[in-house]
Amino acid sequence: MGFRERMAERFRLPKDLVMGAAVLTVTGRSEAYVENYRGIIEYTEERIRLQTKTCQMTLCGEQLHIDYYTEDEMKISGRIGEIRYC
Amino acid sequence: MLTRILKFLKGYVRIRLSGYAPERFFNLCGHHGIVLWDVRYIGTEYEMCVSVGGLRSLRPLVRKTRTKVVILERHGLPFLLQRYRRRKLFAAGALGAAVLLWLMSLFIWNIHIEGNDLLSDDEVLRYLTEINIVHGMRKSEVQGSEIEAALREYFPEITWTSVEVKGTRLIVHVKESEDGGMSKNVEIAEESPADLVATQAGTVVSMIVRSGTPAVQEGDSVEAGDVLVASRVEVCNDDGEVASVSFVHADADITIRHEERYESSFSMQYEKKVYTGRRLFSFYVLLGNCRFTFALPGAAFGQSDVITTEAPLKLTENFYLPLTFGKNTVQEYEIVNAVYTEEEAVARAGEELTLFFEKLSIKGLQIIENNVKIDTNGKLCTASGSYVVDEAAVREETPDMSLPDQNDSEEEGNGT
Repeated sequence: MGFRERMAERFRLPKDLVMGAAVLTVTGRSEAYVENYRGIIEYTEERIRLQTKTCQMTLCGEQLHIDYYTEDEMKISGRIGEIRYC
Repeated sequence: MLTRILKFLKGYVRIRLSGYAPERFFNLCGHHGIVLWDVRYIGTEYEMCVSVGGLRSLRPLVRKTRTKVVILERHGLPFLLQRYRRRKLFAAGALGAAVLLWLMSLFIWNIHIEGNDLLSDDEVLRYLTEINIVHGMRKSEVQGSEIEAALREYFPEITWTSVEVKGTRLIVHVKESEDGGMSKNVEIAEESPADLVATQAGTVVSMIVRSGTPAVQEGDSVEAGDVLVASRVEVCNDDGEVASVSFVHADADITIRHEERYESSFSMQYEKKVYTGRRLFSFYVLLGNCRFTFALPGAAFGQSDVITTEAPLKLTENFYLPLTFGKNTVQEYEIVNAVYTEEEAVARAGEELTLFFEKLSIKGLQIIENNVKIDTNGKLCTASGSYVVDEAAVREETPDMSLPDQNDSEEEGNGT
């Protein structure tokens, strides 16, 4: 466990602020909100790969669309099949 | 919804992005604060929406990422304005129409009278014109309460009025007294003494007395002018002698049954209108108080009816404009002597009788018996016979409060 994570644990601070962790909110399997990411690495209808501060996040599925896209928040809709971190 | 309105006001475009590094383009957009929405991946290309402001700052990013941007659709107000910027007169016309509409809505263009049976619209309108309530007057000049008071004062038949301005219409609601103010019933103030007197000879069939001394009973025959309920109320002492006398305002529901005769006859021969089928049309336009007539040429007819149809121009039910289109149809007819058949004559006489009874019912009379016979003798159709009606045939009358009478009672009162 890193120093920042320990501090966050101890002082009960939100981890997305302290550690710059990405926040992923999934509604059912058709909608996903991603906050606190760095950028898009790949975008096709079947796969969206995002870079976050610590790792990459991959959403696989069918007919994936980006409903909106700003610097720190995006909304993805479609049939989400798999969410993977690497 | 709000975001949709904002998007429309600021304007946005749908673009197609193709090229070497679209993901890098997205990231750069993010970093430069350009919002993209509705991003779709189609084949090898991307389609997305971007605001007009965002589009302007896209150019350096496009060069940097060596992608190509094509505008597919333009949406929103800025594009609409640009498309119609040469149509200044159109905009001026729309504005002019709105102003004209507003100006027109400041005036009364239609006066409608409601609830009048006895008074004709013309009579009321003529009086309204006299007190300067006319078509085309300013709405702000309408003083409802003044018109109401004036109407009530001028027409005694009107018991209640209400003036309402609805859109560009002035609606005068009127209630007429049921006997049309024609009754000879002299109203005596509620607090002063009054007798109830029969106005018809007949038999009293029902009597409910609320105040006063009954002078007759149910079943009694009375003559016109007889006192039915006296205003004089005598108070007796224990010996049965009159102790004091007071006069009250008599109040009672009294029904008098009486028999009346009905006589009516008409000739079996009559003049009948036969339309020849020849017609003339003329059209006119009423603009405010000016009339423009357009007549088609044609020969004048000897005898003719004129049927007028008018269509006032109105926007809504109550927004009348000062423009009316009208059409006159002149129909020629000839008078032909005709004779009623027996059935026709009986039917006509029957209708007349029904109408007569209906009028009586409206006046509050109840028809109890109907012995009217209809006969035809070739030349005349006669309806005659008697009918029996129940009627509240009473009127109020100031009683005879002669002094000696009062003095007598006072003396009697003093004596005991």
